[in-house]
Amino acid sequence: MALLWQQFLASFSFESYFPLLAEVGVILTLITALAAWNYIKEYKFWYYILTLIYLISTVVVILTTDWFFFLFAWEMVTLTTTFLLAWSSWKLVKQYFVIQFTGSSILLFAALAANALGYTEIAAIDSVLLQFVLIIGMATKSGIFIFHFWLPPIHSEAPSPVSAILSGWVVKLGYIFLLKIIPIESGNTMLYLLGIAMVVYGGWQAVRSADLKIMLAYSTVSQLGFIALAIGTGGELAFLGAVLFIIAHGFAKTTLFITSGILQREYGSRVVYDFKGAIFKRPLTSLAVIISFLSLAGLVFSAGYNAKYLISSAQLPGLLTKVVFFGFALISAIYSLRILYWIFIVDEDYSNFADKLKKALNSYQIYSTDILAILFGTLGVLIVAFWPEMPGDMLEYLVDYDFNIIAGVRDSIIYILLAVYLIHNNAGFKVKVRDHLSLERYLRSALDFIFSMSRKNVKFDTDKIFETVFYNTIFNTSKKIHDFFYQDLTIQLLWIPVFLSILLLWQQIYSYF
Amino acid sequence: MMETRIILLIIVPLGTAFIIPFIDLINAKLRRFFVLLGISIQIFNLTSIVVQYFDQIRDGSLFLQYHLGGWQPPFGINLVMDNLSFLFIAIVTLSLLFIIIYSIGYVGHHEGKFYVLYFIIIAASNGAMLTGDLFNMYVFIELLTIASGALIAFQRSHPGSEAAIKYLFYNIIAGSLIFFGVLLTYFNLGTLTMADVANNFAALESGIQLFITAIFLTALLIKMGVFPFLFWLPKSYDSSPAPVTAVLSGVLSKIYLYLFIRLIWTVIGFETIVALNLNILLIDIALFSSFLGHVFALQANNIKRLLGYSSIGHIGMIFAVIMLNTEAGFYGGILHIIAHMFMKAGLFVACGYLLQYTVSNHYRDFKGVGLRDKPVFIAFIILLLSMIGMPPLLGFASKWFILMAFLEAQSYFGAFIVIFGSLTAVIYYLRYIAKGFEEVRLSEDDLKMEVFNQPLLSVLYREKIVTFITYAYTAVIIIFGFGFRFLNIPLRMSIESIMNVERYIELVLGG
Repeated sequence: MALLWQQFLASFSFESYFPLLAEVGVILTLITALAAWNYIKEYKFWYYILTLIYLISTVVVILTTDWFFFLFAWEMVTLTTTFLLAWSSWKLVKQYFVIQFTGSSILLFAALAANALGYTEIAAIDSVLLQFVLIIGMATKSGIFIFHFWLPPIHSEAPSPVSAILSGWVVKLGYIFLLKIIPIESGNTMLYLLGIAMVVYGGWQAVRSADLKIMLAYSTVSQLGFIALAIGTGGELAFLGAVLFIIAHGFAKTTLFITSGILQREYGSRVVYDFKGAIFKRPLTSLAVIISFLSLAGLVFSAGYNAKYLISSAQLPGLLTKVVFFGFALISAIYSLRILYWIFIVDEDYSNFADKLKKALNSYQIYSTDILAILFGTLGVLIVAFWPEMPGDMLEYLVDYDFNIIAGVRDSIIYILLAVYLIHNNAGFKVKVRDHLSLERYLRSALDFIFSMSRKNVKFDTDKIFETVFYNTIFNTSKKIHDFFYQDLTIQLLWIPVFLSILLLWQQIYSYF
Repeated sequence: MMETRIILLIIVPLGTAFIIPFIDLINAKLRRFFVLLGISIQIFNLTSIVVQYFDQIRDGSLFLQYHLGGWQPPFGINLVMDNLSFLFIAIVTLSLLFIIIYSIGYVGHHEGKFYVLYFIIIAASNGAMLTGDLFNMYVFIELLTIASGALIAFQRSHPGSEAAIKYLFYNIIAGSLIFFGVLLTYFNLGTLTMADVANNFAALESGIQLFITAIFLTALLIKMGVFPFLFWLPKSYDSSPAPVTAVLSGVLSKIYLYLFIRLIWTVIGFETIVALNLNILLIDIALFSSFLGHVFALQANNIKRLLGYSSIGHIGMIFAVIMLNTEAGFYGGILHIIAHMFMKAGLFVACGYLLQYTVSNHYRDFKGVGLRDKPVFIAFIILLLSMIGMPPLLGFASKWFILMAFLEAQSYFGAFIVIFGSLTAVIYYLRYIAKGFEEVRLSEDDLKMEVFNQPLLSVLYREKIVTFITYAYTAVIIIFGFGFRFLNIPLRMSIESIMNVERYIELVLGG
């Protein structure tokens, strides 16, 4: 045990930006812990115990260089977050567990393969094939395209502080891992392409959602795309951009999920169309929402702008990349500004501002812990916005870096004008409110699709189908094998002479092969 | 060096077994005291050996002998304790201690008979592991078979008797094969001392070598329940009472694994097996057996039978990893022997408590078990997770080492079987866990069924002891899961004593 402990301590590495990321992870967890103080009513003790274990495990995941401790700590992260979902429903726990378990087994296999090929520590891996396997391994955990399917349903249905943990930090762990293993010189083309797909797909889905939490979950997918794209690009600038993006998005998303919880309590609804007079009822919350969404949109003087600027300036110069990145930034601007438009602009009357502020009635008593959580989150966003080198010059490269604010202002104005034009012309992209997302519905629609190929309309009971496909097939197959080997006692006993003669004649049998 | 305490490890339980019937004549309540006294003397003996020879255990030079009747080895019977047998005796005694405390709480009817048979098992298992004489080993194996056969039929139910008959059928055939092998060895070499046989075995004609090896292998495979002979195992696990099943699965199969290591590595010599090309065949058979065990477990509709099938899977895996004959293989194999001993015994012990009110062990009767006794069920789940190989538990560590050993030896089929076993285990255990949490709505028919089909040992006399032992097993799994490196030194040393056969021969014959 002492040996294990020494090995454990020796495996920590405090190089480059990983200590900073660990600090941010700790701060974000503390923020969510503050927000959970009033949100979680039952079994509060267990909630905080789980959060504590989660906190320690994330730090280990980020800082360790040993495969074993890395996998172990990540499993602990998965397990604790799985059980945190229990405050929403057990169904969610089961689904999340099964999905993450599958992901873990791929990751375990990938880590074993890396270990067997001589990469005894977590460090840059040159083999592209191995990179591919590891990317697939962390894909399920971090919502890489195609494997992201679980992310919106789970993140939107979880309790708000847990959503904040999941969306703000847990999914980032995979990218922090990739920052370690993708060589900084070359990057990874597949990751780059997957990142592009995520940005576009997540952004499109975010524009199409009316439910605030679903929209936030899809915007997570979209924003994670930027990180994947940055790591895929390679180069110091892009990696720094990825780090800054992880921090900026972490703070912004954590704040947004916490505020979504407050708004949900205030209005009893998660649909953005219902949030009327939010700024009068919840002025501080609204301020945090605005700042965080501006950061998500990547407008100038925000955290998101700095990160996106770093990433885009790391790309190859050329008209095509400029146009493409302009498009990406526009997508995030549209879905962020659209929410601000629905919450703060449509049917709002800002005359007699101060008067209304005083008279507004709250249906939800806000607590000081909530306010503190929001304030810390917003503070984080602002710090990244105005001191991208981070307090204490953690990112030395960025101390005197020119973020080209003038061009940023110009671009932001173009984004805002374009976005306002598009939103106004399309009536705010008003879409019908979707039902809550759930993985069972996904399964059902997939089955419906398959069966619609045979032009038959059948209603499916997904539970039963799951049981039939997943269990009865296995059960019946193994039953057949069992019955094949389990003959009656005489034949069972006949195995003894047969086996003995096989052993005795084994030399002859062996020589045939 | 003569060490009297070794023979006390056999004599004390044997003596207790013979005293108990007489104590019964005087006072039935005194019996429990004597049972505890017997097992405590046993523990005390073992502890005093550990304390006195601590340094030797640490540096691997532990070697204690006892010559029965003062006759020197090639002629007389000798008892030998080296690091391997010390490790096995230690864990077996610990497990047997747990189970006997459990049976004080569990066995209500015919307690006296139960303890007699149980102490005979303790004596015979220690004897089989300590002896350095082939014929003596055969005697102890027969003793084990007969005592455990009687215990399987202990409930005196129809399925119990059936299972016991089948068990005896198989195991007596195996016993007579061992007897035959011992005879052949004696006629060809003129000696029965293991060290002496080992010394001269290579000089034998290769045909006779093959014949003796084949007979011993067949017998041990029957005893362990590896593929062509696995049919007796689930039935006898299913129909015997919980403590007996825990002994069968937790202790007896491990003793046979120990005897297998002793016979193949010390007596026959692994080189002989390699020269006969049998190692490849045996690894593949064992892995196939493991595969079949897991597949059979998928279709089991009976929790105890399911655990029996999964035992087949695990024992096959251990057998295969040991047959790799590498240091990593032994390390993983013996660690998993320890892990499996505590996990399986713990699971059966927990089953005995959980299934006390159910009509049968059937899947449908498992409904609501988890809601009725929540803490015990949680311990049960932890043990199941350890069987699956969940990280902080002991099952993970041992499976990890086994996987590493297979990968190191580039036996990819073995590595596949390890992972396949874990994945199928998830499927078949989750099914039962989910069923355990299902709510029961009793209809009138169910109530009637429950009233009329009360199982024989339905009421536990001392419930607290029973649950305590279940928690104790769970605690062992969790503690060793975090601190499996405590076992590092004993494991390394016992591997050394397996590999270093010359030292054994020299010490037995020269000392």
